[in-house]
Amino acid sequence: MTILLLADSNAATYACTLLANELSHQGLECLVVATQIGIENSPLPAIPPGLGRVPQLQFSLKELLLSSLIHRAKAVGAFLHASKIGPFVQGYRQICQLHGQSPAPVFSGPVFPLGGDTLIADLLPRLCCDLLCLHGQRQLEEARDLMHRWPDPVPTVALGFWFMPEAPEDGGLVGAGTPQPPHTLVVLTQAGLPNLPGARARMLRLLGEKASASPHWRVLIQPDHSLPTGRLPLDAETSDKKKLPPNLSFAAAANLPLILGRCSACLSLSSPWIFTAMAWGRPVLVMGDHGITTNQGSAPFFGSGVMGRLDALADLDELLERPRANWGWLERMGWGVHDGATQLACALQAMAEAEAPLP
Amino acid sequence: MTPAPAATNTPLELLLVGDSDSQLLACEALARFPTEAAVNITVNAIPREGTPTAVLERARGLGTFWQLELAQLLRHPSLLRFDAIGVFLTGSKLADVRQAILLMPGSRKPLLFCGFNGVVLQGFEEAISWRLGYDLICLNGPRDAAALKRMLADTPFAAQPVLTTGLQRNSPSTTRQMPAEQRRPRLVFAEQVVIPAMPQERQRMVRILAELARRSPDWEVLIKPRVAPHEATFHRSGTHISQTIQDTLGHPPANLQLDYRPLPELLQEARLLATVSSTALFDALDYGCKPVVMADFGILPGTGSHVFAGSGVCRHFDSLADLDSLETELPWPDRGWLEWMGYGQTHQPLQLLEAIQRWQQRHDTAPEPLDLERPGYVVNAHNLSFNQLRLSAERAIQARQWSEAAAWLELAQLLRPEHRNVKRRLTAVQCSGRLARRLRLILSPGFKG
Repeated sequence: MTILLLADSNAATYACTLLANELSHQGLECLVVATQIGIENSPLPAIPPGLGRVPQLQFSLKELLLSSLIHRAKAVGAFLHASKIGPFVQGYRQICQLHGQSPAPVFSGPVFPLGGDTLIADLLPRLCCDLLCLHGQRQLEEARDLMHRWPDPVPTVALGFWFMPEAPEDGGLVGAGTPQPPHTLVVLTQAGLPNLPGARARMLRLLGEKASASPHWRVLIQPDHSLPTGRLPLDAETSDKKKLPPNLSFAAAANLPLILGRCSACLSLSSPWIFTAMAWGRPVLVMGDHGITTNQGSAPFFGSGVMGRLDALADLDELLERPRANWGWLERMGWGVHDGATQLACALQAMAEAEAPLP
Repeated sequence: MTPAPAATNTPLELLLVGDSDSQLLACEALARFPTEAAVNITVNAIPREGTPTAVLERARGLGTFWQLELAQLLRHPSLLRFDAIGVFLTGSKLADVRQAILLMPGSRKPLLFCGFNGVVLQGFEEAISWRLGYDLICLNGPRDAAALKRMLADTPFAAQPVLTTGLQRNSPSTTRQMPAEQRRPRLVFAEQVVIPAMPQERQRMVRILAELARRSPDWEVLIKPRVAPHEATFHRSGTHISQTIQDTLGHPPANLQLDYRPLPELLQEARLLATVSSTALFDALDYGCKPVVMADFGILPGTGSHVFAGSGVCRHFDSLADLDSLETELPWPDRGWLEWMGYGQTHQPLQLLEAIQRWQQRHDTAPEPLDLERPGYVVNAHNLSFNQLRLSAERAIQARQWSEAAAWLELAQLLRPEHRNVKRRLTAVQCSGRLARRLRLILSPGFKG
């Protein structure tokens, strides 16, 4: 069985490569197709370490639909931006119809764990698919409630935190248990967030103050998205960099999973990579300075147990004393599922058997 | 159904507080108690420019009617004589009221409850974060209860008391249900001011309705605007629907008209009610009018249509042959879906009166209010409302409402007595001399959030 995994972002390509590797352990042959080419300055390596053997191709969606490759797929995993799913699925099924061929099942879902309005907004355009791939119990329940009393609810499956490696790479994890000095705080920043006027400049100023108050720490600002050349996270290129303390710096590209495995603490407003820091046992602060707000992505973190105000931190050593993530919440967000590839393989197998003609 | 609290009991004193028209309609829906229920209702409609007169009149008809500003209300000497206070305001004000009452002296406090105005289409978690800590949060039905349980699971707030009071907004005693065969061939379209939101979509909506009216010459299609052009509602809108019709259609078909009469009046005689995602769908059921959901904009979160997708009555209007054929094939909404949303006998406001009585009976042993100060958790109601008090004070200062500003700052000072700038601002606005006040305001920086 050949499964095509389509990805239109660096994060999706990275996640699909990990998933392909896991599915290969189930005896399923996968091909990762990166449909968006040439994204520079990605925070992620092109291929997760050690997975160079997973086959990857670069095609645009249009080229893929016109190639014979897609007609040989037994299943298609479309991990594309939600807005691209409808046109792709429609195009694929029409082309199959023209070829007199039954379309293979299409499965899809958000790459990162979502919750509440952001999950619903992401899922609705994917309802044209044959299977929805979610992360944990919470998302399964939300999808079930969304489709309550619908005549044809779309089947769902939980894959867990498939977007990230299950554990840091060998030798990457240092200071397990209580992190040991020298300490590094990784600050995960997001595109356009926080979005209140002046809030990004305030966040940078506060980080500078905290770094100054804790000279034995290094504060590493790591964007969780690709930035154009010359741009810095939190619009720092527009600020007076002389005012920033020497122990505050900006992370290099392609380094994100590595530094999450090695940091002493992690901070973010609502970056999904903070789930990785939580799952790997790092002390975490989810910035609650702006409260629980839907449009800043903080609403799903309400139950995390690691929210707090950045401005309330006296110094960075306080981070080491903070409560760890609410484990029940983290498991329901997806960390409770560790056999996602098996679940997916079973779901695809069941769909294939349902489609097969009766003997 | 559970019998109403006996009229022989001392009547419960209930205060309902709302500001915009939607919030006042929520108060009205909740006040739909059986006539034999022993309850005296007071409604405080916070003055707000543009609130429809009809909505205010209906609120006036519920019992004693006040129109006090929020700060005045919170200092009203009779506030604590109420057995329960229902607060139907926007998030930050909800938190301000809860904190203000919590800080009032005295051991006997009214039960504080809050709720939602109609079907919750989005923003539920943020809304709950403003409502946490109330003695009781009223929800519509099992759908909202499931979402709340999911949000609070494994957190220190899982014990937050909730009650499902339903989506039925019209009392059976006041709704006249005309038999279907006596109803006029009329479809009422319940317009929503921001759904759909984009001007092009709103124009398309009007075009589709006009074409349907043309294909159904024996029917009247009445568009019921949410508000008249000079009125205001909870949401801010751009172009009024009357203008959209004029811009899109020029001269609409003769059987397509705007109708500003109250919705209940229209529903009593109409055969069909159409909407994209308005709570009016449930009002139609109260009046025996068959509802249909206009699904032409797809299942998109921005329109709230996904919430109605399980109703079984979603139709694409641009592909309907005509309204006769729609009326023939259209079923009533799915019963399981109605129950899930909170419409039906299981979820009724009467349960609120019972909850208030139970609360009174165990008042001496009632648990302490939910503690919102928990390490690792951010609750808007607790963490942001001090700022909201200060912002409210600044707004009042901008409007030169000195006593109003003083009231807000006094509340803020109660929360943070050590806060020096709040103290300075309060001293400033309490100055009677114009020059001294101005000078003190200059010397105490304004709060910008």
